[in-house]
Amino acid sequence: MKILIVDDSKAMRLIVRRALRQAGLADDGIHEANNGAEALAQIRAASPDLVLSDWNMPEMSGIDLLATLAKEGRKVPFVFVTSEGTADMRDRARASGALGLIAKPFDADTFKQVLGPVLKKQAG
Amino acid sequence: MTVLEQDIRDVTESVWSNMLNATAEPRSFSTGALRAPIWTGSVRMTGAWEGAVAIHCSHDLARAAAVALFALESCEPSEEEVRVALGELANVVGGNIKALLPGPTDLSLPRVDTSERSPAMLDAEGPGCTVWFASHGETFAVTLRPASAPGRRPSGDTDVN
Repeated sequence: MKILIVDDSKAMRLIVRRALRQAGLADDGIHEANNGAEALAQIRAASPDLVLSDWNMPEMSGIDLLATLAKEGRKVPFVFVTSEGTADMRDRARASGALGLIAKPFDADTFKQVLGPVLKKQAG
Repeated sequence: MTVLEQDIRDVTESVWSNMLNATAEPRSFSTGALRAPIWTGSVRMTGAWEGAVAIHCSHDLARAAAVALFALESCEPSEEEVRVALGELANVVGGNIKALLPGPTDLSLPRVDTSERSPAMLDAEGPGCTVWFASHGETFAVTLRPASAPGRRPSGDTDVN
């Protein structure tokens, strides 16, 4: 399974990668992008099975990335991992086609709870 | 203690626990308890509520945070790792506090600066609040200041990603 982590923070990419490993994902299937624009280029080249994206990033935000993917007709499972989990943002995420939103800081259980069904579906 | 101060305590304790696997114990310190140089990680909010949230700490605590955040085997993180770690902590604390304030607001990218003297934002009186904690044997503070408060934005700081 190929998972793309999109976050401008090196620290957060590392934390998400660690959480994925704890959830049993192989490290070699995990890829990273520094912002939405970089992620878009990677997704166009080879679509991942799941995108875990921050919301607030320079160059292209997570919500703009999701909108661009939708405009291009690319249906990539997409989950936000963001420190700004307001009700409004959750609504916007859902309306834009995201499968969920994980609020930072998250613990391993929350991560598994949100991603479990997504990973199961993708693996099956 | 105001409701917001209690919220800041809750958010900070949760961030320290989940991201650093460490405790942030509320304390009643004055700014004199912070050892120079003081490292400040901050994020700005614009929109329905305008102001900033910042974490002020010693270099030793910022370094300990980087070691924990990056799970480093060495206790000597690079300066870049220290900046990124403190910026990310400010980003997550700020993002969570943003949810408690009037919206909609936009959150800036985090910035980090260092100062030999106590930052104006930390000493400012009036609107906003400062909540003190202890962690890793060091003290640190989280401040919330509206845009009208003095020293809201440190000068000479740099963006970190």
